Formats: sequence, C-alpha cells, structure tokens
Amino acid sequence: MRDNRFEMFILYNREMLEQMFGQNSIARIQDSFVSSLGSCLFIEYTESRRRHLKDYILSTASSSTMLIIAGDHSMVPFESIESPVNDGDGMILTDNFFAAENLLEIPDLPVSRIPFARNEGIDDYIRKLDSILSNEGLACSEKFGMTAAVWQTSAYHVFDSIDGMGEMIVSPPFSLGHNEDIVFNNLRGCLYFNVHGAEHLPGWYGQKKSSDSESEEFPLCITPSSFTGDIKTSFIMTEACFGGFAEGKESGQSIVLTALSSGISFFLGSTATAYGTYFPPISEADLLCSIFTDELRSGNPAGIALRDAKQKFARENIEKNGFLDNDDKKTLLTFTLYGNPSVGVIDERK
Amino acid sequence: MKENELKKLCGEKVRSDFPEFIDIEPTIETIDTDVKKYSKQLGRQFTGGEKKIYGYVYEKHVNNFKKILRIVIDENGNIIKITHSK
Repeated sequence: MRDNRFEMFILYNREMLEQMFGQNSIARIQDSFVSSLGSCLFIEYTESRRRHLKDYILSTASSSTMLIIAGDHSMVPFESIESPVNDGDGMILTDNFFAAENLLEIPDLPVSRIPFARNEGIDDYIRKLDSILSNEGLACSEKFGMTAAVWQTSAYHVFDSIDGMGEMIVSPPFSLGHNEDIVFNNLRGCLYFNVHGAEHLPGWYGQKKSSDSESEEFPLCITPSSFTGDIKTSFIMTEACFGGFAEGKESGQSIVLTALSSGISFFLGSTATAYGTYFPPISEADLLCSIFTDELRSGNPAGIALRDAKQKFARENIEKNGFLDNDDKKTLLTFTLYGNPSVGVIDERK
Repeated sequence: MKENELKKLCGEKVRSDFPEFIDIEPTIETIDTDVKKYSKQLGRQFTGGEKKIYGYVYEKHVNNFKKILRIVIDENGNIIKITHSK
C-alpha cells in the first residue's frame, strides 16, 4: 500500500504550465500532489539548469526519496541518447537521467512520470492526478495476460510469476477483428502484455508462429479503448515495443495515456524497441518484468520495485554472461514507470 | 575466429532457424565488455572484459512492424544468446 514515509520530489515546468494553463494551474497541481501524498518538494525545471537540477536532486535525495516528473517530454524532457542497439531507433528516451548518479543505465533513485496528453487541459490533468495519486495499495487477487503466439512460452514464464488468478489470451488465434472488444473494469491486479507495438500505432498486436500458415501475421489484439473503464485497482506491465512511448500523442492514440487518464495506479513500458527471447531462459524485457513483479511481491512500492529490478537485472546479466549486452542496456534505459511510484501490492493472505 | 567466420556461423544459424532473415545483411556491433565500472553501483566486484563479443543485428520491415533478430556471439564462435524485437 502507499507509504507516507516517502519523501516526494516533484519536478515540473512552471513557466510552460503558466503559459499554457495560467498562473492558477501551479497551485492546483501542487494541491493535488500534497492532498494525496503529503508534503512534497516542488522543483522547477528549466532547460538551462537541467544538469544542475539533476545534481541537486541526487545530492538532496535521501534513501526515502521518490521523484515524480509532472509533465510530458516538451515540459520536462526525457534524456535523448543514441540507441545502444543498431536497430534503426536512432535516439531513444530515458527517465534514468534524473535518477542515475553515475551510469545512466542504473538508476539510484525511484522515478516515475505523469505526462500530459496533447489533448488534455488543466482540468483533465488535475482529474488524472487526483485519481492516480489517491490510489492506495493494490490487492492483486486477479490478473489478465495477453501474448503474441510466438512469445507465449516466455510470456507464461512471466505471467506465472504474477500474483492473482487469471488467464492469458494468445494472439492469434485471438484478434480484435474476430472477437468482441475487451474493456477492463474493476480488475484487481496486473494487466500484462507480451505483444508487439510500433511508434506510430495506437494499438498492440499479436504475432503468429512461423508454423501457423492460416493466421494474419500481426493481428490487432488491443486498442486504447479497452482502457477507458474503471482501472484504478489495476496496474499495467507491457513488453510491447514503444508500449511506454507517449510523446506528442492524444490520450485516445496511446494506451499508456488512456490508461493514465482512466486513473491506473502505475504503468511500466518501453519508450523504444524492446527485446526478448522466444523461449526461456528469459532475458531483456521478460526478465525485467519478472524481477519487477518479484520486487512488488516482496512489498516494495512501484518506484522502488523498478529501481531495484533494474539493479538486479544488471547484476544477473553481468554475473551470467560476463558483460552487459547492448539490448540489456537498452532495456534498462527505456523501461519507464508512469503513474504513482508510491503504490505497492497488498498481500491479501496476511 | 575471424570476422568473416563469425558472420558465416551466424548466417548458418539464420538459415536453419530464422529463414525469413536469409537475405538480410547484418550490421555488426562490438559489445563493450568492461564491467568493472558497474562494480560500485551494483555492490559487486566484477572482473572480465577479456573476451571479445559481437552482436549481429538483422533488421527487416513487415507491414507496419520492424523485426529485429540479434545474435550475440563470442570471438570463439559460441552463440551466447538470440533475441527478437517485440
């Protein structure tokens, strides 16, 4: 459950918010954070002081500090760096910048982001903040999974490690073209996706196995409209390429933005191309998600769970292979937490 | 092994297991194996960095999707892992 022992740093762009939404917007945003999280340290972002702000945050933070970036890429930019994998992504986005003292891949501070969607006004954003930040602990008595057929062996490995009772849908045969739409409502637990995504597409897609000659290769399996119900009692973990890429999009064009608008507690996804293996032993996105769920189960709130998962992921890979591969580094850089970092999972058995 | 021998080994793997990438010319990455720099942050004393490791990256586009196949191989020709884009 949410732990008020945490010291919350909120990084925001006062100048841009005032220009876009008026002076009153700052007080409203601050009120929303404080009324849900208690006292917060609000830090004003300016581009010219970016490096100085990083140093200030990391030198001021204690072991109980969490950082929330309130705004999108145009307000408080992600760090843009060259993709470690030569896969055509070019520059990729990471929020590790403000959280990593030395090496960018390894964050020292828990960090999450609550972005604006392009079509959101200040009232929408405040409503979203109030909803996301008021979330207490998550029960995790249920779970839902969806995987591309080609990934299903590795996906079940991750899905089985998630608390709760539930089924995983495999695509194909599942496809939105041949089945009724899915709308999530009041699910208490994790929504897990091991599917395909692309930078410019709003939905996520399955993929047939090479032995399947009948099905469409990439059937559409989920769209943003599935996340417009009451999903406050859920969190999302997706391994889709660009599953956590939201920049410049409206909420209906992006699953992460739609889910946040609907008040999802937190969302883990990649800002760029993500990687994995067809079969265990799991690695890259599968391994990070699996460690993240372990960390949640051990009682850590989402922000700490991701920071610690990234550290364990790096340690395990170096110990196993003797090096940190380029797609491991990319996994560490691009997997981004959105939403409330102070929410954790309640063990209902206790 | 020489670079062309490693490339041939990866090509054989592609031909046998991932034939859709047969016609793709891979790009070759050299993996940074210096892991000592992670020791302090991760609380372990890492050594290593002696073996050379390469990543062979095959990229193709199908419909709206980019499909990446990566084969990671050491200088002795041992395939360490094979990964795919999501």
